[in-house]
Amino acid sequence: MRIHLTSVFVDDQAKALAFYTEVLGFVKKNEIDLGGAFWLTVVSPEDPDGTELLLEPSDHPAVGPYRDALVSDGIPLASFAVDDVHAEHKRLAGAGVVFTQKPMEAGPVTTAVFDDTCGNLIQIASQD
Amino acid sequence: MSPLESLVREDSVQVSRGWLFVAPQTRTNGVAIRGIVGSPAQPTGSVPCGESDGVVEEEDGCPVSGSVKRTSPTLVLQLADDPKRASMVSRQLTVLVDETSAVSGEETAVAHGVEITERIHPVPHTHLSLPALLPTRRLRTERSGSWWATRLPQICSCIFEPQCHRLRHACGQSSVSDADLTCKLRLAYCQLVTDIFQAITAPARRAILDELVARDGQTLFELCARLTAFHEMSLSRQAISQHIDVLEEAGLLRSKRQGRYKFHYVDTAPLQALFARWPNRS
Repeated sequence: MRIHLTSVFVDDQAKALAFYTEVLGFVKKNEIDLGGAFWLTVVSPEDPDGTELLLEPSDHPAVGPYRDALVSDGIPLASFAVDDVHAEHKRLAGAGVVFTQKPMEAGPVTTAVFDDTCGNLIQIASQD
Repeated sequence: MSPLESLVREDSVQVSRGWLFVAPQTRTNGVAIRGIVGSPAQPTGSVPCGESDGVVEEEDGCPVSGSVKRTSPTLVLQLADDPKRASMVSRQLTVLVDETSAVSGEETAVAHGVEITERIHPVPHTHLSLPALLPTRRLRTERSGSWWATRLPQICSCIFEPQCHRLRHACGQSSVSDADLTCKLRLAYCQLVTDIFQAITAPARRAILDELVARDGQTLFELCARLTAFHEMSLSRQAISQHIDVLEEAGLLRSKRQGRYKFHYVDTAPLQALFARWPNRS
């Protein structure tokens, strides 16, 4: 068993696609029209056949309170691996991305948390 | 020099805004205290007892109460005639200037020609002082300054049943009965106060302060990560959240909501009261 797909809820799929591809650098894998919404996934260009991230519509009534509570406490909904958190922080902050946690080194792991502009906090992590 | 520092060093203090309270223990020194208490924000009706110009009074069981000088744009507190005794008393005074009550009237204050030079933070005293007991940080964050100002007379006249539930909730003590809260102030509130020593008793709370000193303005998530990573404390998020509440009630930490996020900031101002109480004698 392995993880082939995971998801984040997004306020607006078109806006989310733009952020996840143009700002974060993922590439679109699937965009299937489901009548109003899309089955919309992105993958890392470093691993095009790897785990897909589903950008799922957030219109279910439970999503709002759930995400608000997490965001309020600064809890990220997903974690992505990067080579260098400090460099990514610099790059993304330069692109206007808001960080709720600047890079923090804890032993071999460095993490940071940012707002994906679609309603979620996302963690990036690198390991020495 | 902050108003508090000047109070400790001198016989009088003048602050440009906010409320000024005097702790109950000053009464037991047997030293007459006179002075004028006023507020630029709400010049009438919101000082504990009395609304006329004049002398600060004492009441049994109550803190030294203030009277309002309607025309005064400043708060002035003067101590007793005898400078020696006044000096002695001033070191034991607990004074709290609550900035929140003035914030709502800041424009009024400016219109009165008051120059606002600094924001003054409450300095809870380690004794049973009214300021340390009543305005917990959480109450302030939930309610506006005017709420606090308008309720103050009721609270200070020892009739505060309407506040019971709120206070109890704010202090996280569901076991306190209403009967506990309807007696004199010092009796009622001493059970509710989170004093500064209690606040820093727990290693976890000291660790939280350490981490906020290292980097101010953290989310709960980051604080949890830091306690685990740097202090080897495997506490639940709920436990850490409760520790944060205790620190906040003691005035050592403040949380600020910024859009959808909530950040925590350290406030070391209450610790300065310790230095004022036990000055360096080495």
